[in-house]
Amino acid sequence: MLHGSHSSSSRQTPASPFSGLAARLLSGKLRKYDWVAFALLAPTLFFFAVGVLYPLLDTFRVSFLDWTGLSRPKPAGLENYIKLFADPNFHNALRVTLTWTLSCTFISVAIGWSFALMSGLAPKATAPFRIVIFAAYGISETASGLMWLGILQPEFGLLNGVLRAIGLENWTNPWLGDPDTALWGVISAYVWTQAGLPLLTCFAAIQAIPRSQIEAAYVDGATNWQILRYIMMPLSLPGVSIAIFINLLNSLKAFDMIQILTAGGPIRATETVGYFMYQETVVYFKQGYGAASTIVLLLAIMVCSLPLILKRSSEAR
Amino acid sequence: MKFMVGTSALALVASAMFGGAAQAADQELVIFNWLGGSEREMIVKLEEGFEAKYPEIDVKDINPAAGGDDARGGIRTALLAGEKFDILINTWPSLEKEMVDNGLLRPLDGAWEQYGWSSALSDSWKNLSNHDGKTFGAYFIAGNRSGLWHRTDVMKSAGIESVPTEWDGFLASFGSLSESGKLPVFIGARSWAQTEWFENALLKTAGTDFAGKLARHEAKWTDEPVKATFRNMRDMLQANCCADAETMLSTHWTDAADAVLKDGKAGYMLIGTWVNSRASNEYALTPGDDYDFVQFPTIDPAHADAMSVDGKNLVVMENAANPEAAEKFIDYVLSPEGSEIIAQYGQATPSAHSDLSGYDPVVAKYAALLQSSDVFFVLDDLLPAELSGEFRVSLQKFLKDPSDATIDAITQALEAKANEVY
Repeated sequence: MLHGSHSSSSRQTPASPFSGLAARLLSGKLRKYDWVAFALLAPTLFFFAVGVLYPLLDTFRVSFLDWTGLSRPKPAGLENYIKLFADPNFHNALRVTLTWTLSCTFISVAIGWSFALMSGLAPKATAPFRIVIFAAYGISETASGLMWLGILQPEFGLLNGVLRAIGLENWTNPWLGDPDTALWGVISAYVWTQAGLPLLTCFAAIQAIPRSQIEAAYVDGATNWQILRYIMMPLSLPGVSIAIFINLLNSLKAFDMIQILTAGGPIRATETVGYFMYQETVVYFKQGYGAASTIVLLLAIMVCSLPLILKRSSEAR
Repeated sequence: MKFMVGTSALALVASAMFGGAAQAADQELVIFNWLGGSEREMIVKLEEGFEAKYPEIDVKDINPAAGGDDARGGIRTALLAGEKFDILINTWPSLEKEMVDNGLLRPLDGAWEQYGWSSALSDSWKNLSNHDGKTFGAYFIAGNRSGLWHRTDVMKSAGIESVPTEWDGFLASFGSLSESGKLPVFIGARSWAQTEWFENALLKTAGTDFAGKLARHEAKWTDEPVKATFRNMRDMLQANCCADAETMLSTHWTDAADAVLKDGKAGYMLIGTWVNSRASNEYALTPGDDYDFVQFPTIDPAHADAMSVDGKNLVVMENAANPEAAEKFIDYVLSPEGSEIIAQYGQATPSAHSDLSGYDPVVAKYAALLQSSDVFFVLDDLLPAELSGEFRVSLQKFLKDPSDATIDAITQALEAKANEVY
């Protein structure tokens, strides 16, 4: 027991000379050289305050105003929020966002993780495939969107062209013009751009598995499937959780792909909360209303981020 | 000697500097020019012509970063940031109204009288910038939004000698076009181009007075003329005018232009006059010979000359540092010299001082119509932006299901939105 305690404490990182800085600041008991810490933090704090904190607080302030940008701002109290939650278009945006976010995240991570697991069994042979899949992540969403517009176009699109060529004329469809298929068309395009990141994080997690564990499993007679199922899958979960986190946030704030492929249509079938926010603020100039929807989107992102942030914080401690 | 040469040189330099300064402009006119491409070049050319005529006035042209499809964001940002300018080029009546309501624009009635602009612009053009009995802008560029564009060879191959100008004849021509293997009408309803059809059908069904009332919400969206317009559009859909709704909803106007004017796969499209430069420059077609337009067919003869137009006007800011120079600039733009510069760039002006002989036959045709028709500014630009969004989506719903139930539902939704935003 004593040995265990000693072992545990010996693994701890040596305390930083600035640890407990926040507590000392709050209690007014700063040490003589704590100013060095503040000096080092100052540039970051300055840019954070100007670039993030101020816009955030101002958006929060504007969300309580009735303001078009040219008119004199009028206090609106909670009216923007009350109106927002009663707005059928916002309800539609919430529904679309839920389908969009979960589908994009689930499908991207499923594809990325699957390829990572396969790559884990033959890292060298699958390297070209990993590069090709990850390359799509490096292409701008705008360029990808334009490419997918060409694929999903009703008359001259590649997809309908291929369907016609293989005798499946009846399967052709104006994919982006049909409210029932438009969202899935955009999801397909978005997943194509996003699957590279889960592949990278999951493959990195698999690469971090000690070779000795896999070799021991082989020595014990484990098949490739058993190694995949009982060693690689559980031990790559940290990579999967990071991929889920990043893909979830990316899809919540996705805009370019939707703007290029459908502009939120047809009949609002692809209007996410992020797109709704853009419409209200930039197109309809309802600054207060748009700001209220921005705050709601921000809260959604915070709710999604919180579990991972808390997990990372507890691991850091 | 050296001293004398040096002194003379200094005197020459001083003379060049200070002598020049004595002749330089002593007034400045600042123009907020957010336009791009050839339209921007045209404004710069007008500014140069103005400076040559009024050497005491120096024109400063400022161009915001946010131009492109919708420069309203850039204009708002500039105003919010306290940018000072004398003249703003505007193309959105709803933005103009908002600026008037917030005291940002200066009325031009005095200048209108002083410079006699009524000789250049008809009352219907003047009225487009009328808010609460005062005039706030002068239109200098105009486009026809009622043109049904078509290829002449497509019409001939379908046996249509002259394109029908009456509604029933127009619907009847769909059969001939279909038999010749063409889609009669291509509507690109992906974003906003479906509104062109409703607006023109409304003007020809109920006239410009009713459309004006609707734009100001003095008439209701649930009123009978609106429903009658939808029923007329339904007649067109039921006459097999178009592709299926899903194809229309995924088609941009540019794709429709390609299908109608470039590839000749479809008969008609309804779009603004900017398609003229696309047809002549990008498709290398000859205006008047290879392609042409007719005005949207007459539905009710009482409204036969109703015409949907778009345009750009010049407005003077309330805090303008030099309003007199701004008014002089407007006068110059409307003058024969200004109109000639505008014509050089292939744009039509509603000014009666323009010489139509300088235009290609297509532009000359609609430029003449601009001066003789009962014009009404494109409805979608008159509506508050939020109502415009609902309007576009409602028309997409109608194209998907043009039943009476849909007409009732969308007119009620539009009326509810109008009640909310006016």
